[in-house]
Amino acid sequence: MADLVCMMQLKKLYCIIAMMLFGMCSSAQSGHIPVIGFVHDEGRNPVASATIRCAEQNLSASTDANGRFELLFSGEGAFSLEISAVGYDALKTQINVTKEKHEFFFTLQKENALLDSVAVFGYSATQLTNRQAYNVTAIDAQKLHNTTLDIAHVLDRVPGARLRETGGIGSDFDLSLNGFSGKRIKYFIDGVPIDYLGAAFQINNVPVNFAKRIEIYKGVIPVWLGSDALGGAVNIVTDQDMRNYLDLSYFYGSFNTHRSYINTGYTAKNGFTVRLNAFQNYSDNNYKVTVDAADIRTGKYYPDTTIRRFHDKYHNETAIAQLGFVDKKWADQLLAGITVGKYYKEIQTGARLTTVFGALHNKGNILMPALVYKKNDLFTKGLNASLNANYNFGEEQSIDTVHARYNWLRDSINYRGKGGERAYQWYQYKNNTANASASFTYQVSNRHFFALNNVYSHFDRKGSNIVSPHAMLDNIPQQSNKNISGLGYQYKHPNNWDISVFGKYLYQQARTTLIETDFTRPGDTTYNRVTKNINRFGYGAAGTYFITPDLQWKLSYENTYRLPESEDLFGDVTNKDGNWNLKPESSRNFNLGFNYTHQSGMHRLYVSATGVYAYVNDYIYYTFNGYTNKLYPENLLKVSNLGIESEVRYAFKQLLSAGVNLTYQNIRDRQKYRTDMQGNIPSNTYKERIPNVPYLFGNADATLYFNKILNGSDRLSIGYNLLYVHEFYLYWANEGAASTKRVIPEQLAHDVNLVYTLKDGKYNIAFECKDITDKRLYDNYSLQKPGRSFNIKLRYFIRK
Amino acid sequence: MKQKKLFAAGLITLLFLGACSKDDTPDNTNNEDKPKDGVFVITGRASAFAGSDVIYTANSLDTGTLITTGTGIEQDGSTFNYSVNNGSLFSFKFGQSAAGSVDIYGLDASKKLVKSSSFQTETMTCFANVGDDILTFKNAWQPEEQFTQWFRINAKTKQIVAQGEINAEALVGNGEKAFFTDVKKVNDKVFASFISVQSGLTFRSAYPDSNYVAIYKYPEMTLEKVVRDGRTGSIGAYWYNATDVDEDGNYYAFGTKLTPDLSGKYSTVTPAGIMKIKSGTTEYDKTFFINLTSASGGQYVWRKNYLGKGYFLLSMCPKAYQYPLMYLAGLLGGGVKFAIVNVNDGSFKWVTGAPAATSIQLTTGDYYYTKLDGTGYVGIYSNENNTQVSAVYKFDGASATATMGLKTDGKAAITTINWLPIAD
Repeated sequence: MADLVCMMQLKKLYCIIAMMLFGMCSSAQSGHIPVIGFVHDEGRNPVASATIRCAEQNLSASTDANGRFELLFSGEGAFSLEISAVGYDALKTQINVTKEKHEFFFTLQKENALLDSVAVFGYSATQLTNRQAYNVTAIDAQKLHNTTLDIAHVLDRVPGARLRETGGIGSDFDLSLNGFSGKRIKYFIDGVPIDYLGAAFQINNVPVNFAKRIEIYKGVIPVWLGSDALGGAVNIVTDQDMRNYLDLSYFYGSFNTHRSYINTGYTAKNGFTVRLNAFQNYSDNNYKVTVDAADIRTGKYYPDTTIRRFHDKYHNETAIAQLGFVDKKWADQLLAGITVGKYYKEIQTGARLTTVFGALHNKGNILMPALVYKKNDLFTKGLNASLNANYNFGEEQSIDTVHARYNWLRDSINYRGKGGERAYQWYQYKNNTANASASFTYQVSNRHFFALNNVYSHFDRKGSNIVSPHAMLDNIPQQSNKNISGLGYQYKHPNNWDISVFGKYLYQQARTTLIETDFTRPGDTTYNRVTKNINRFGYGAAGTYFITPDLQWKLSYENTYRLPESEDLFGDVTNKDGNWNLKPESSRNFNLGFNYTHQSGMHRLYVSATGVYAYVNDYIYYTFNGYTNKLYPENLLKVSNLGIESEVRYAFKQLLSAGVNLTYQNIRDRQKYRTDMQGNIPSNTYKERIPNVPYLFGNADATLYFNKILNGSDRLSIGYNLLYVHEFYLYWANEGAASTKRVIPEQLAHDVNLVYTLKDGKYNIAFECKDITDKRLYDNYSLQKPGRSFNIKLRYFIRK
Repeated sequence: MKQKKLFAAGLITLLFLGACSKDDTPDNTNNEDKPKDGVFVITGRASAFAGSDVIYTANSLDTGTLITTGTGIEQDGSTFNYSVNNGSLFSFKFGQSAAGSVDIYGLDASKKLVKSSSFQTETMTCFANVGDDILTFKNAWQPEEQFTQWFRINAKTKQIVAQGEINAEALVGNGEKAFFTDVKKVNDKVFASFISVQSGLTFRSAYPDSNYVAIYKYPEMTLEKVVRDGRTGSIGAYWYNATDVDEDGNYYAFGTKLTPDLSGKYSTVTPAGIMKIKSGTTEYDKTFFINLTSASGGQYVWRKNYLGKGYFLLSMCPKAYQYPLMYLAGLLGGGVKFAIVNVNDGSFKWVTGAPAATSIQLTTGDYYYTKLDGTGYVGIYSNENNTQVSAVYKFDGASATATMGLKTDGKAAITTINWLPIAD
């Protein structure tokens, strides 16, 4: 009830602000005639992102999600309009604008083609997202549902994004956006944060079929994704519109890899709905690597031995079930759900391929009930509410209890007594994460849009080393609560520009017990229960301007913070120590970009380029701590990144689509003085490029489409994808002579695929060969990735 | 100022540099009259983090300037140990708890350092040259681990030739664990000092005033006896060698007392001091003891370097600290002061001519160079009015003085100094 009162007050506030803004705007528009139009398809469904042009008046606009647009005419008269949208035939028509008549309705015809040009053109179907002022790339994942990709590998093809993996399926991965990676990048499903879901559910084991659309925000993050991201955020949008559907697929590939996926849902007439989304991955990951194999008894190396990996099995099984009602008066969506899953992962190597393990493994599970409530036009038209809550009871285990040494030749020595391959442990822990988010958007009119968002997350790790219990250490509290509130406002000018401003308030409270020794009185070791509170205020703005409907400029700025992760504060119990004294990272980002689309007859061209600048203070960096043999985080760095990402795409009819993108990022150390010594001692790495981070990379792709090969409803596509990553140094460039430096070599991987679709997409078969030249690929120094692989995917899809 | 430190957090990085780089055994010294041709191998580290060790060479430690930017041989990271044996430089990557690779370098005819081969060995937490072998220990570390492993690596064949296990709990026999801190070859035996600790998690002990040297027959590594002495406490610490053998085969053990008791406090029941086992015997010489606590006015021995002719160079500091420090920062309570102690006459003198204690950021610690002529070379990295000074200093035992020798461009801190002869 209190919430309701609060909402009412909020609404009042919005109305006041809106009225003020209205006043400001209308005074500037006297004498003009506003025209409001709606664009629909034949089925009366609104057409979003349609472009409306009036040549005589040099006007243009695009439709919103409701198919609505506005134009301001200088006076009365008859004007010709051209309305075009991807996937529809262009419409040329005339309207008579008078002071009395200023509402028009238009209907677009679907393009008469088996395959709409959307698919040919790549990710234009998600134009609405791409047209935002943010530096965002939205990928229409549906067009990739027949491919063998998982979500992480889709992201790897996006300009400005780079995925680094330590091995094959299920391996550790790190996605960077705008040059920043790790926990700085936040992930969401339908706007709900998915931090700490555990390894049973992560973007490199979720098939692309899970997503309808994937939105990648680089640099500045919109406020409705409530987060303390720094560098970027990924929002996986699932399909909420399908009512009755079945999507089944099975994948088989090299290295004994099996993946299957089922996504099905039923919605009754009364709105009752049940949905199931389940996937499974299994791989032996027994791909060949070329290593210096050692005889563990003599230490002798057998250089360049090609050998199969033997302890790298990975599998996970995850299911998400939802039950509830849709399209009711009281809720557009009310769903109770549960995510259940588990994984098992063997660990073959350490940080270098020369370090071999034969028994070390991790496993874990996820058990997460969740609640979703969505209501559009709550209380009043244009006010949409969305509430989400979940709690993860999942458990992780890290098991290293075999006291032995293994080598690539599968020889092993068992040592006496207790011990491990790396560190004797069977660590079992629960992170007890909970998430609750509430999001309200209010579209006051076509021009004024407000968003209010609050995300609360809770972390309370409980765990112990069950083979080496320690009464005190096992009971140290490791708790962190975060709350991020954001408020944003967008003004959308009907013709050609919009601007958003937003502010967010970040709050973190963490608790632990510190074991401290006072060095002036060495006998006094104290156990201090401590609490820390962090408050920060971030803000930003984003604007976009359409010079013509085909040429868009975007500018955004943000002053933001990333709060220390629970893992940064408390460690990860296996390889990382925590640091209680960490400060939040702060960042200022700029993005300036444009995109241009040109259509001429059968040819369509798209060009975009974005410049990014970021300056990060108190950058958290992990160094190796010798006496605990673990990584240790500190606020060590000041970092700047000045980069550019660019993309060109071309399509010819519905026959060919091709594109190339390239990203360059110049990430430099801005720390003038050494942080490890007293006094202002100049740092030797000041202004140097941050090592071990790729700085030049890109993708190229081309696909040919053939329709109606054997019958009227089939389609064949032949695709090619190239991944390029320029070589980069593992350590600072100025250390050691150039000829002796360790380099992560250039990567050039060629993938080809063939997709055959029957019965308008009901039956699909995809065949893919990755790394066709079988080149050795490395994302990380020494850690060779799988080489050439062959994969096949069968998919059956129906919807009603 | 009250300085607090988070115990569980490591603000200090280890100096993982291992082998003592002076000519290792006394019987090598008869070559001194006709020194072989070779170069000094100097390792350095320029960056505070995310960087690598770099190996440089120099023809003299007394003069010249070493350029450390864009030169030298990059190593794979910064957690390395170096040892010279049989004309080869062994660069051991500290493999955390896992196996690691060892790169071997030699000099070509033009005295250029070239990588000759590599092999793999288990990680180690203590090691030393023992004749033609490099003997390494992987100490039992965690509370549940009972066995310490040792590996005998032959420097000629560059392979592991033997390995074995030692019951670390049975060896110390007091409910704690033996943790080896140093090993020295003495005739046909090795003398291996160890500390008694609960585990490598804290390095604390209920017996900080006890000391232990295990005597093994070599190369069989069969235990002959454990010698103990009640006059001082624990010998050495993790990555801290505290024993030496002089030109006559006398063995000196430093009770450095860097093992905290169970509450984290450093015991003052016994003083820090030097003990001696005379050549040919396996018992302490009860007539010999140098009380370093009283000679230094209560300072701790942070590092010791034998210079020959009975002179030991001591790096001393006001506070004890059980972990090897990369950067001295404030933890040692005011930096490092150098002193000379002569084990032949028991004299103790403070050294003059070295950088001020408070300006010293890092020294080469254990990893110095000497010809056993009463002098030795130590690398010191100091902050002189916010300017980096990184240089080699020559310490003279007789006069207790230090003079600056080989300078660097000030970028990299010198971490080890070795002499590498052209291989036969």
